[in-house]
Amino acid sequence: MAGHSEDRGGLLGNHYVRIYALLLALLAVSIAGPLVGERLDTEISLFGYRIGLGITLTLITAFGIAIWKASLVVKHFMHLSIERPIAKIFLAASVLLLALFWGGVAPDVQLHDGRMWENLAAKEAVIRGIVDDHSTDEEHAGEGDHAGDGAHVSLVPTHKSTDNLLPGGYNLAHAGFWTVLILVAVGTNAVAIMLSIGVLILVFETLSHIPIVRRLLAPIVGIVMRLPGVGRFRARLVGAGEA
Amino acid sequence: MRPIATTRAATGIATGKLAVWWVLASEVVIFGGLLASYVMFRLGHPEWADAAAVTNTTIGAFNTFVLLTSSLTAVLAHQAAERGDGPKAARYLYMTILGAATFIGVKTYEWWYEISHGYTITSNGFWAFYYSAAGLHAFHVIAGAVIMAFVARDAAKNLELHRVELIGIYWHFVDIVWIFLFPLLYIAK
Repeated sequence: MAGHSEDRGGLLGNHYVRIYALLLALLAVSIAGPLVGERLDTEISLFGYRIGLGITLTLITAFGIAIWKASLVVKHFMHLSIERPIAKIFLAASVLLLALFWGGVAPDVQLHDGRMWENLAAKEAVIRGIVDDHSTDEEHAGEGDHAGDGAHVSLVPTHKSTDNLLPGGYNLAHAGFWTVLILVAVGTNAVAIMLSIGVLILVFETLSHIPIVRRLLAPIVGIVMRLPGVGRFRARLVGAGEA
Repeated sequence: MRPIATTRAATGIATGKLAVWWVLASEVVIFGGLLASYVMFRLGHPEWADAAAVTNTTIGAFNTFVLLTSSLTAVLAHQAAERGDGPKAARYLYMTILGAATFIGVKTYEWWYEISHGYTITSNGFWAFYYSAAGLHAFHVIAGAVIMAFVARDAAKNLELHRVELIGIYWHFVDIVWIFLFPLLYIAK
């Protein structure tokens, strides 16, 4: 696929070299942006929210540009944009799985206070870490060091009332939890099923290169391909560019 | 009979390339899970900022430059292979391996410096993530360089040129992982 790129004017005219130059320019911006951001303590008001210009600039130049750089590499160096749909489906399934993981775990990890619990060990670790880091740079306090005195009470039920939940109270919270759980279960199984189908396709393809197996499988393949929709699905998967 | 890796499968992709994309899909979950965990903990632990301030941005930036350059040579190797110029593809692959060696050399110095100053994997949560993520990535760099050496050896004889693209796709993914590791570990102080 690299042959699709024009190569005019030697190395400097090469499409990939131009993309590389852009990547280096973005790298420079991603380093300079946070340096400037550190020195900016101006705040602006937007839709009633106070937004720090410095932190905004840092986030955009560090992470926004990282996403831009990655997309350039994916599109121009890995050629994913002109790849067959199956490769995109593989990657999309992985990203979806990752999003489910993040969505399910983040509320418990990022926050140290829930409606029905609070993570005392994490809170203590934060306080100890800040105190220790400011008292001496040579000492490195960590959660692991405090496992003995805090881990066993890391998730403690509190006396918080269920009355302050959303309308519908405790039942609504349960309904939401189980709905998400079912969606995750279905999603995870869907990925497993898809990967299993992929394995079967690979095994089938490998076996079909053995002449005697191909002859044996031919009637079965014929039956399968005549099933409603199979031929159309295969044509769509393979794409119009099949040689 | 043509080798299975170069023939087109029912999916429309040569089997070898399909396998590489498959590996990368699983790598997305491995590295993505690790980085997502780091971000979640980092947001919940403001005290990690002091530890993050210790990492050397200049070294991280230099290694980003090295990996981006090695990605360029990897795709130029692919371009040469597409044109049937195996020896040229091999030369570009060797340059990519040189980039990998430089990256690992710099990383070794960086880790030696940090460990000798007492920042080890057990120091705190930040350093545990730092060494786990960067270590797993470095392992992928080494593995990629070793595989690339085999591919380059064959490519120099105009053999198995399709493998140049396959190792290139893997290498670009390793580059992408570092593109995200760099701001997370070196810039977000």
